[in-house]
Amino acid sequence: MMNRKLFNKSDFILAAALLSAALIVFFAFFGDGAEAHIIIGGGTVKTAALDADGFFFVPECPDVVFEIRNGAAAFISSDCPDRVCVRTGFIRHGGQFAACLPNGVVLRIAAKDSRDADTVAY
Amino acid sequence: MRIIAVVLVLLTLAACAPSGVTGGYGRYTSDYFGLFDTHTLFIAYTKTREDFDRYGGIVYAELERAHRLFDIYNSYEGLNNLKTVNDNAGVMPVEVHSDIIELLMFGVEAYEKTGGAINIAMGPVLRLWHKARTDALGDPENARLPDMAELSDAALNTGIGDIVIDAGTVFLKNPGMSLDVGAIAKGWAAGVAMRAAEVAGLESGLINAGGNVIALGRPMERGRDSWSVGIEEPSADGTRGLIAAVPAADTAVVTSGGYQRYYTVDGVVYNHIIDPETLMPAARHASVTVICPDAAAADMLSTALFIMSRERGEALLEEWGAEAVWVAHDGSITRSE
Repeated sequence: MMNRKLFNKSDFILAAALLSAALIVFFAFFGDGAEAHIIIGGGTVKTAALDADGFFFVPECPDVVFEIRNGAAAFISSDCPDRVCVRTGFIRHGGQFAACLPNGVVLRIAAKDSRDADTVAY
Repeated sequence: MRIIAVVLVLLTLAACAPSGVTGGYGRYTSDYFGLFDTHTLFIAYTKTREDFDRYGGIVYAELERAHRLFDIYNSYEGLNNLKTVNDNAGVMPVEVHSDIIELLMFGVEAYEKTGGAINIAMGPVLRLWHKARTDALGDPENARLPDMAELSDAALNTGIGDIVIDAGTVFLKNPGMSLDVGAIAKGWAAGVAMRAAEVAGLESGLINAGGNVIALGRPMERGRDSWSVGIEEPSADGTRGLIAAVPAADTAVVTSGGYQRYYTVDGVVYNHIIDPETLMPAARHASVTVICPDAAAADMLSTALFIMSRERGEALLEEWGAEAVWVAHDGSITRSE
C-alpha cells in the first residue's frame, strides 16, 4: 500500500520518544544540578546540591557552617582565627573552592563538564 | 522516512553526549594540608586508583621536603633550613641542601631581572607587615599599619648583596637581615614536585599549591586538549566570579591578587604583597595572572608584575617568554601583547 504522507502517526510517536530521550540525556549531563563537595582528610564527607537553599554543617567539623543560596555555596561561619574561608564568599563555578586551613576543610564546586574550570589560580 | 528520523535523533543524541574520560583512565583528586601554610590540590588521570595514590605520594613528599627546607618559622631536627640560615645571620655560614642553594640563586637572579621588585632579603620588612596583619586578626578594632620609621629601618637590612653563597653554604653578612622566599618558593616546589611525578610515569596531572597551578599534559577526556584554569574576581555582593579561563597544557598559571590575604585598617584594605620601593602594599592592579612553562618563574613573575607598572611588566614577560592577564580595579581584563 502506498503511503503518500511524509510522516505517519507512528513516525511522529517514534520521533517524539527519541527526542525525549535526547533531552533527558542532555539535561542529565548539561543541566544545572551542580554540587558542592565538603572535603575533610582528603575525602568527600558531604555533597550538597546548589539548587536547594539552606544552612548545614558536617559532624566531622561542627563549628563550621556552610550555606547554599541562589545556586552558590560558602563558608558562612567558622571558629578558625583568620576566617579566610568565610571571606572567600560565595562560589558557584566548577573548579572553584574555598579552604579553611586551621580546620582542614575544603568546599569545592564539582566540575560538571569540560566547560568548567579544573581549578582556579589565585 | 522512519530511518531518517531515527538517524536525525541519534545525531542529536551524539551531539549532546558529554565528553568523557578516555582510554581506561580515571580522574582522581586529592587535597593536602600543612604544606607552605596553604591548601594543595592534586588532580590526575591514571589507569588505577593505586597509580594515582603513588603519584600523589610523590607530589606530597616533594612538597613537604621543600616546605621544610624553605620554612623560616620552624626548625626540624637534623635539618639546616632557611630558619637556620636566618638564625645565623652575621654569625656563620650554614651548610645547606643543594635545593636551597638553587632556590636562592634563582632569587638573586629574580632580583636582578626585576630591578629589585622581587627581593628574597626583604624578611625584616615583611616581618613587620606580617606582625601587623596577625595582630589585627586577634583585635580587628585596633588594627594598625606598621610604623613607617620602623619599616625604613628594617629596609636598611635588605641588601641582596649581603647573601653569600659559597661551596654549599649560605651566609648572611648583615646580622639584622633575614630571608623570605614567599614570592618564589611555592612555584619552585610545585614545579619540582610535578617533574618528580612525571619522571615516575605520570602523563596527565595538575597541582594547585596555594594558587600556584602547574599542569602536565592534557586531561584524558574526549575533546579536551588542555586543562582549564579559572581566574577569579571578588565582587561587592560577596560572591566570587570566574572572570576568565586560561587553557593550560604543560605550563604553569599563577595569579597574584590583593583579594586573597589582606587586612583592613580604618576601612582601607591592605594586601600582603609589599612593594620594596614604597615598603607599602602594591595597589596598581586588582590581580595579575602569569602563564609560563617554568613554575618557579610563573610564581616570581606574578608577584613582580603585580608590583610593577604595565609597561615594565610587558618588558619582563618578553624576557621570560611568558604571558599575562591583568585585571584592573575597574574589572577590565587585558592580555599581554
